Amino acid sequence: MDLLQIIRQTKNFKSFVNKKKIKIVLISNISVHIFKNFIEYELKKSQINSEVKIANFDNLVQESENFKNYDVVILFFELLNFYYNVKNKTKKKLSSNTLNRFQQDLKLCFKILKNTPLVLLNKFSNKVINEFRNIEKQKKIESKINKLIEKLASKNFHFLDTSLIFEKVGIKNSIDKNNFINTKTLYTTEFMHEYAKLIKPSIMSLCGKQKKAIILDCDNTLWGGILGEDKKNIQISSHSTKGKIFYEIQKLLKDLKKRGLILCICSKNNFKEVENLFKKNKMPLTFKDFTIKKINWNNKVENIKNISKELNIGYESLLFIDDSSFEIGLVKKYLNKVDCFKVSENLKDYLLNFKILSNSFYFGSLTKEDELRSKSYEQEKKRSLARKKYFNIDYYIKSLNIKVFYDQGKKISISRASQLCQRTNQFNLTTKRYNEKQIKKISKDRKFFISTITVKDDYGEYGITGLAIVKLNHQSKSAEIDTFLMSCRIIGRGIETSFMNWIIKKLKKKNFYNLRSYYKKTEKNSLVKNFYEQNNFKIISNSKIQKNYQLKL
Amino acid sequence: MKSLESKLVEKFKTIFKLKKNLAKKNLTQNKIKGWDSLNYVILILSIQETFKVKFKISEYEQLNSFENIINLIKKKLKKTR
Repeated sequence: MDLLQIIRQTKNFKSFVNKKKIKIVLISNISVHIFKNFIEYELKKSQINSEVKIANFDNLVQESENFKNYDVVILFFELLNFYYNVKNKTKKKLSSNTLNRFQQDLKLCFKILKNTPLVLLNKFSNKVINEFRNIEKQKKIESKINKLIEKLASKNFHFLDTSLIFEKVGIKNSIDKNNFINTKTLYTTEFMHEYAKLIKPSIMSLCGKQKKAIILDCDNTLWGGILGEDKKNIQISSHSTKGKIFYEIQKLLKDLKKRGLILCICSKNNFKEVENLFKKNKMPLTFKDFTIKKINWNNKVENIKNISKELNIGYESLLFIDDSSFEIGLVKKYLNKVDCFKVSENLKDYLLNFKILSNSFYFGSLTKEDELRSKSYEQEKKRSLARKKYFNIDYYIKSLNIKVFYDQGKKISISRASQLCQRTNQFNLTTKRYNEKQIKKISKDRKFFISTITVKDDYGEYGITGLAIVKLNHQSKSAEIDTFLMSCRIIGRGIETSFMNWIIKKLKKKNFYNLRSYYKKTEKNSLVKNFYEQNNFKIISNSKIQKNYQLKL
Repeated sequence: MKSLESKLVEKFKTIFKLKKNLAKKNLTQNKIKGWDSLNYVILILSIQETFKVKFKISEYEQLNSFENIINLIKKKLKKTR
């Protein structure tokens, strides 16, 4: 979205009739006119009418008085500007006089704005100043002023950390020095857009549209690694580099919970395993911190629908966090009011983006009802259990354009195939752990049919994620499935069935007429205990640990 | 792909709210009514965003007409290639 498009789009949005216009004013000491376009655009996207006024340049106290009756006052002050004094253009040092006056102004302004519904204020940062090499830096000014404003602020003040945006887009992409010198427009359009996104949640909560609950996935969201596949390698500790990121994320979540947000889990996992992990590991969050835990193999849209009903919270108040673009896409498509946040592929970005996210929650208007809500959910839970609606997941899967590619025999990747054997627990019917040597041998053997699948969809590539090994008896023309497994990242998209059908087709071509198979129970593979039944195999014998099947081809 | 020129014309039309297709030599600071300091900044930011160019301090004075601007952008894009 570039500036021109935003100007046009904002005009094209229809005004929402019968809706109050939120009055916003920007008070600043640099040129911020263009922020208006971005703020109005972002709010209109969320169906909020707004009118953004730009106050007179660099006139903090006077303009605070003039606009104190507005709904939102945004104070956008840039330390840099103090270095470029109007009267003396060559002066590049900040005088203590200027600074003192500014602090006095701030004190006054804070008093004046005491009763304004919402005041947004940037934390001061020296990052911009550091980009201008020719001016003399004065250490710790920003932290001094920051301490002052934090001390003075009343409850309606909300601080924004712009340095998070600098970290995200890079300081060089955030400001343009020459533009500043010529037109006093310091920031780039990229920064402005990010800024509008940063302040949006606070303004939305003022309109009663704040987020009330966060719904989280588990694997690679709350911790690193996949619990069902590799229990020992779960990364959540302050001692490892990877684990530390998840540790920090949990700390931030804990903090949000303390401030009144409801946390929920919606994850495809085994309930017991997740519970145990919380018990065994010391993490910032405990299992009890989550109000609702949907840890099952149902699709997430249904789960989120239920969470919304049980909590009695509308979709627009929910935030959904997951690391899989499939799940995010699914939720976006069927519950478009739910805000989604995808875990960034680069873990450092994940932490940074999450910080920006948590920085943007505003709790000024949290009411008693909100506190009561999490207590009364148990009752609501019972009430709404009966109501369930289904939608067509097949349709969604079709729209993803999933493509499956098959490799067989010598063409397969030996190392990946054995890796799958070693790691896969949940969707694994026989759980045979072949190593690379064994796989290599099998791939050359005429008595075995081995194949792997590679999966792609509109969102990207999942890589080699499925493996099947079939034992062939060429004399009796009968075959037996020795291994059939898939990575749990791709379960539930109909891929397993098409993989099975492809194998059956191949066997038919070779004139096999009998296919046997079995399911061997382990601690973790209850997910697939009825897989063969679902694919029209007939049970021929059944015991506690194993079920044997047959299929006439 | 739209040409550089048509992209810039589009910017002028949207930002300065031009209705008719004016001749390019008439697209100057003095002849366009809507050309004020605010729209001037929008124009510069929009150009920087689309063409990924930065201007030197001395060049800002030249940014006062369609022809000057397009020549400057062309010059800059040539250099980076």
